[in-house]
Amino acid sequence: MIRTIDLHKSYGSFAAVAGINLNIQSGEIYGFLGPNGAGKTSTIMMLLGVTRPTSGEIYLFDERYTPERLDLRRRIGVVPEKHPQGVWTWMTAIEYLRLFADLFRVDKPEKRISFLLEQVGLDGVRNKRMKEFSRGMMQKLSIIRALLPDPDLLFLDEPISGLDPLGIKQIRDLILSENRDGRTIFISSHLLSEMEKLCQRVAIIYRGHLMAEDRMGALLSRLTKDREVTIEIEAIPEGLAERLREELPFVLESRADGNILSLKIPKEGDFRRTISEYLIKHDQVPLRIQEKTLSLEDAFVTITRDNIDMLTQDPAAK
Amino acid sequence: MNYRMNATVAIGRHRLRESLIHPGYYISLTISLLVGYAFVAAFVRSIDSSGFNYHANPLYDFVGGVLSGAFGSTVLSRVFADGPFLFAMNVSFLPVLLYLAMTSVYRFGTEKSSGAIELLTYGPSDGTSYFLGSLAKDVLLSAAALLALFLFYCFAGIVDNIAVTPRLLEEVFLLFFSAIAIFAYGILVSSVTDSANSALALFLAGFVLLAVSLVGSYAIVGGYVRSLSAIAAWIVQWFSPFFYWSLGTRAAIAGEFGGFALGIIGLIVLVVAVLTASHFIIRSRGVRP
Amino acid sequence: MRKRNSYRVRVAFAMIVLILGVGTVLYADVPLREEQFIYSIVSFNGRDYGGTFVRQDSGTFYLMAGTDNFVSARKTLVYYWPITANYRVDTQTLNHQFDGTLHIRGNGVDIRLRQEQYTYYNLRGTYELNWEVAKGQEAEKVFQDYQKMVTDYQNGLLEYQKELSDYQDSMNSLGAQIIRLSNQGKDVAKLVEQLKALKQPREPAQASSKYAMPPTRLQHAFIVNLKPGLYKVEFLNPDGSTMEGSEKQLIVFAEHAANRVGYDVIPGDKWTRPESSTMPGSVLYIDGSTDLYLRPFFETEYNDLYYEKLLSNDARGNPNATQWVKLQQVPAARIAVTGAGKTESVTEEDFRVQQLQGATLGYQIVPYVQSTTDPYAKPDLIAYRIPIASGETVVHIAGRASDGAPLPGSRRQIRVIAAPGPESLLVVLALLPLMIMAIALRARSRRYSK
Repeated sequence: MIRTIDLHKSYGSFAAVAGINLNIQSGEIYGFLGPNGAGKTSTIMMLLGVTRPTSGEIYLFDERYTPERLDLRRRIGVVPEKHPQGVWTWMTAIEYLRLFADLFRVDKPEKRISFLLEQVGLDGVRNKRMKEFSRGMMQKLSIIRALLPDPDLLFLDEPISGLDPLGIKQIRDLILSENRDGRTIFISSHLLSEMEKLCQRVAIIYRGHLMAEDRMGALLSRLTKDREVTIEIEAIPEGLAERLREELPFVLESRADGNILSLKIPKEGDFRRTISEYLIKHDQVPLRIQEKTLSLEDAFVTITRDNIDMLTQDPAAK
Repeated sequence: MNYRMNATVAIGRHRLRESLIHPGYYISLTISLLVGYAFVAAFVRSIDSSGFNYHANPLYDFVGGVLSGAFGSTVLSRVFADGPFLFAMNVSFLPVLLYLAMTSVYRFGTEKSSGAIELLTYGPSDGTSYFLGSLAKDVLLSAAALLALFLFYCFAGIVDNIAVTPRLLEEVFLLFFSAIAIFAYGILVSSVTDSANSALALFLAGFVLLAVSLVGSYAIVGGYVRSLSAIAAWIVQWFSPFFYWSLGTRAAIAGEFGGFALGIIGLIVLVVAVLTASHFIIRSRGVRP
Repeated sequence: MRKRNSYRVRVAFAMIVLILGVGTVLYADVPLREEQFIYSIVSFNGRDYGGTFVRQDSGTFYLMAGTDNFVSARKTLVYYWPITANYRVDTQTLNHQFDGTLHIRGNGVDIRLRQEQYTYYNLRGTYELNWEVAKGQEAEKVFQDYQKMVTDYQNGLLEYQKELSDYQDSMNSLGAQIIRLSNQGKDVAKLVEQLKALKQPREPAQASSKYAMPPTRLQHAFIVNLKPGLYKVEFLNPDGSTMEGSEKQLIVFAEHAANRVGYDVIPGDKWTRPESSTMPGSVLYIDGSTDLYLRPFFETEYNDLYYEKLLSNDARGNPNATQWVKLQQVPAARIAVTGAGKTESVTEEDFRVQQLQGATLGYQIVPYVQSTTDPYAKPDLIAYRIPIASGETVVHIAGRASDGAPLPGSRRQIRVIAAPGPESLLVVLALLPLMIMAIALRARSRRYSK
């Protein structure tokens, strides 16, 4: 669907994007991650044709893509992070959508608009002026706008930023639904927990370089140094946590919190049986053993430079 | 229809609709018509047994004093050779022209800095189709305003027995193409600046500079002077819509169709050149805020 | 004593004020006279010859193309005269004409002119513009011929006066004899025959009767006749050096349009204050309170700045405008007047201004009838009367030459605006956009409030 070959973008002597090779497959939900200033926006702007690469090539729908290829942009829907402020506020939702329907030459535009408004629950406010819309309503409207031309590719930049939990769920469901219909979805976001739930593949960019591009599971595995196991016991005797750490070599850390015993163990290997046997041996009955995989967010919160080396290591070489 | 053309039409239609459901255009048009009425009514009250006596009415006394003082009595007699309509048409068109030009410049800057143009260019459009759409709206509205003014003066001619000559129709064409050239310059300054305020300031400064340059070239002088400022003014005039407008107007008054056509052609060439430059500038600078 | 002192002080104060005032007036505006090199120009301006001069500070002078113009290089005193706000020359004090060569180059020309003797004059004819220029020997001959004509006329006039005196003496003497003898009852028939036989001497024809303007006195100058264009001019001394301050630009210009027709417009109620209509095809708006009297004239169009500078080198003008210059009356023309679907032909007529009788102030213009009692009576106005009949609001006029050919540029419309029309309609029209706005906004508001 999207392929870039050695994509570069420089602003003077500053290289915002330094040789990126992306490969986004048709029908997948692709996450694009990176800290502020990593080059995400510059890359996305080139993919959207808003800016011209300094060098490199972009292929969209297997065709060479340049900013002059307006015909290819007809097949893309874009939901930017921020809706333009202070302009178009006089328009109603229906007028706003009609503008874009005209722009994209949507077939049977009124029918399509009505369908989409109903889908996101905005049909009742179709004649309301946009200046009266809440943040969540604007975001939904923005998604409708992007979906108007029934695009093959959907670009989402922080699609759930600023939404309430219900709104987040609605948008998440919508994205998954669109993907089930065969739409390729490209998401850029800082909310790694959501990315974890949505994305099948992710790419990580840092200082203009593509650090990693892989399936979500594989990437998490590479990010996660260790695991946490929580064991619920009726009553934890004093000293049990320390004895576990001392007597079981694979236990890296342990702590007791009420009747929950938390153990940090290496990410490789299954130690549940050994732990259960130890507890039973010491007259403790484990009521529940749960393994908590470190999340993308936990490991990646404000992704720091410390993780970069780890990210770039090939797991097969370990 | 190719995508750029489609985008131009879609954006132009949207902008036109927006203009027609907001009061600004109607108010400026009303002001234009009222200014026209004022000049017609004052003219009728300046007629005596020997003809048009501009001292007989305060408005024309002022206008006549300014025109003859700055440009000479010959210019004054030529401007009013057929009656008040030629002068009135030019002056009364100004409110609409300035309203359309300034709001478009400001709007371009506001939509650029807010990211609205960028949002449009995510789809099958680009900066060029955006400004062409905006231009199309301005062209249609200025054409409508000129038509309204022309019909108004035709009616005034019937009411007050004032002649409507082919010179007035020629002036309408000149104003139409001059307006397009001014709109094109508005697009150019919007393409090179980053904010609405700086675009508007640059546009107004350019407008005043070119107008003053025209007035200066037309004013009474002491003699033939080949100075640096005169040479600079000679160079600037070829880029000025006012130069071609004055060329065409003088030719129309003198009944020289060749000069009139040259003025129109000059304006068209200027429009094409300025829009082409704008296209390349916006393509290079982009539309990102 | 105190009263006398106070009086003296007041007188002294008044004297001081008077002296200062007069002194200020006397001494404040004495113009500074500066010795300068100038070009003295006698140039043709389309109608006749006029003079101006080009100061040393002035960089350019202007001449008309295709005509003989006379340029001389002089040294004189130049001063600024603030009352008329222009520069003048004091040739009474200093007026030295230089002998040398005028070098003109540019526009494909490089010539050196020597000064020539010249005179110019205007022959009387149907047209007033019968200007002739004579140069060199011919000029001398023309002027001498004219001098001889003047001398012959003067001699003839003396002769005539003598003969007239003799005639009158004879008349008086015979008359007295006839009366005396008649009173004595004698036969005076022979004397009456003698009286009738006396021939009144005829006044000699004026010397300048063949001239509208007689030949000017002989002068020397450079005779400049060039094609339109931009030239450089300098005066060369006999030794070949360039006279300081003599390098100028010369703009030679031609007319934009020639032989069009304009009109003197004389309203019936302001016959001493005619206006002009010079723009071909223009519209003349009048209030219809009186008839119009027109006088067509030939006119030519020139660049405004160039023409003004031709007349006076210190003048100002508009380089991008043109002006129509009135040349002469169109002789024996007719004006076709079309109104209310019919056309009538108007010819030139004589008119008399008749004061209104009684308490009514003002005058009326009536057709002139030759007086039988006053042989010296003449018409007050000779013009073409355009009747502005009541009800007729638009009249078209077009000039025709004596042979019926249309006169170029002579078409005009005359429109009567007696009073403003129903202008409230115009105000309603002007406010129409606001009404449309109200409807549009209301429609949108109702549509989207559903």
